[in-house]
Amino acid sequence: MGVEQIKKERCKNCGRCYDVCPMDVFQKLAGQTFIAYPEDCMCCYLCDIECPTGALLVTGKRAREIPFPY
Amino acid sequence: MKTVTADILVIGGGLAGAWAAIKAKEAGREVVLIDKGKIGRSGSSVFAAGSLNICFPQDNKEVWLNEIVERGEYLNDQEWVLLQLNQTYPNVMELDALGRRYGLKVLERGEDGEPVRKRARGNINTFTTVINALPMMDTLVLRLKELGIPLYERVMAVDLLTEGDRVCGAVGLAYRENTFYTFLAKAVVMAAGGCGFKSFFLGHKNLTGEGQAMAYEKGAIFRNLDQAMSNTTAKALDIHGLSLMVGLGGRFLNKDDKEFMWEYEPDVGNRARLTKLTVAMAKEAKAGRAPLYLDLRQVAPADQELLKRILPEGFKAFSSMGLDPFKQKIEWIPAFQGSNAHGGGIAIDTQCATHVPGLYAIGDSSCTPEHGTWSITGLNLAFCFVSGFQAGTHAANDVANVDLPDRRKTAKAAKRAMAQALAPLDRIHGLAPEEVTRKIQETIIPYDVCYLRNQERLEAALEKMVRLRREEVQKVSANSTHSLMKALEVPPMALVGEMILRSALYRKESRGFQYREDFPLTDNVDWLKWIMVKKDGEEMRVWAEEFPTPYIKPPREKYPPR
Repeated sequence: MGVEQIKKERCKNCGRCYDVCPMDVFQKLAGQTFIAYPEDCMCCYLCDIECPTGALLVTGKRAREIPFPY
Repeated sequence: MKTVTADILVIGGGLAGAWAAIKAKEAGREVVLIDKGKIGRSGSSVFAAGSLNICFPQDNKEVWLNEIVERGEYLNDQEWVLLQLNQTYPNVMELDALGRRYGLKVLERGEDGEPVRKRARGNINTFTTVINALPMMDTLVLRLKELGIPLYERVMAVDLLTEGDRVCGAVGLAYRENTFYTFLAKAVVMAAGGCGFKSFFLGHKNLTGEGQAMAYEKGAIFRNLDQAMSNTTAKALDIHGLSLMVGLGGRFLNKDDKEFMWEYEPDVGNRARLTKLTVAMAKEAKAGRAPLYLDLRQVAPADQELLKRILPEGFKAFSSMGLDPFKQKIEWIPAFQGSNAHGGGIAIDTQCATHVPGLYAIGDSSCTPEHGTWSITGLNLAFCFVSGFQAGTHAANDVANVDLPDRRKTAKAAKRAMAQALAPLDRIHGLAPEEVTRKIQETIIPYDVCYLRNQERLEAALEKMVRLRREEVQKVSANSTHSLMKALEVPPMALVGEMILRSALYRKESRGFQYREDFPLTDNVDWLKWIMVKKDGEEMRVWAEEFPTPYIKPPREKYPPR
């Protein structure tokens, strides 16, 4: 659902996902980037577009349910 | 609290805000631009999926003016339409040329080197030009940096500051620096988008109306929030680019596989205006003919490649859910987005001045006067260019004889704004922001409040929203800087929600995004008016205003919505 995982073997901790995310989903600690607030993800894929190593697993499934109109 | 001063403060770094900042700086003013996210990757413009309306010099302006006004159901500010028909081309070409200088392809061009033009959603005699959103944003960022404009990112504006009745700055929560900023300026340009209620569609879940809310508190007048807008999206995931999809052969089907839009918009069928599409989808659902689908199986291979190139993340998203829209029909729903995009907002004149001295509003923050209800695709993106240009150049001119505000006097107001912003941190056993957001969504999204309206259901929804504002919203709590930001998004959603419901109740006719079961006709005799909203003490005042129609005379009749 949204951004689900940072693949450790690919992640270089460049922090570009943290830098770009409009929803402040990522945080950094001791030089490492991590997914802190996955439920706020809006599946915009900007982190995935930005990642130079393809380390992010993002799906289109909404991270939070929204009530349907009907 | 850190203090930053400039001639002009621009709040919001999307297309409109960035262009306004660039133009104000080019006109010789010191400008500061702030954004809730990363400039160039935050706001609706980033997700502008390819459609831009440009009237080229060789196009017939009268034909375009006619189409936009007639299809906008005559609610347009016609002076704005003309301004936009004249000003979009030079502004876009300027950005396109800048892009080329930076090695970026902003406008999509064909093999002949000319901009690609298509008939997309809503176009009858007009055309849609294809633009690449990320190169457009990258070009803006490079230009902002080239001009040396200070950029304050990850700063959420929480309140406007005033000196007397003139807006003179803003207070912002720098949520990654764990501090507040006071911005002092001679004029402020509000370019922070609208309120999308964290609802469906891609890219707007951080646009929750706080810019509009703070303008409301300072006395701004709002217009046409009854035309709170919807796009449409897949039921299973948030997708954009619909206009291009229908322009390239996408079809809407009901559960009987019927292309139902030909019943509702015989001129253009699947390329129906958003107003007609969303109300039609609601009517089909009410009649028991849902689920509804978008069918892209007939899109030509070359056009499939174009869509994949313009919307790469969209197709990744489809693929991640095991969906191939070129091989199967996809269940589709209306996507309510409130005052975001072109759904009504802060009333402005042709210079983008609001009714509040010192405050300009552009892009989706404003009432997007060019659209009327909704006429053709890409008009709003073009409006971002033109309103950015208008506000940037006019604000630059207007501050010539304005002084910076008194620091000591504004310091008190800034401290108060900061204290108010921190309040959710003290509510230890309060309500989570997402819990109250959900209640707001449940009040305004249902199709029998949002699309198929009547007095009884609107009043019930309004009562719920007023109660939410008075009770649950006051209990929203936070326990970190991140959750504080989310907590501060909730009151504006409830405020804009109440403004939308009051406006919808007030308009006793059907027009555009509003279908009133109790007033099913479009009434150009009594209701060819703009619905206005303003703060009045503790109350919210709503009224209707006639407006000039200098170029196209609307038929003064009543008729089923066209």
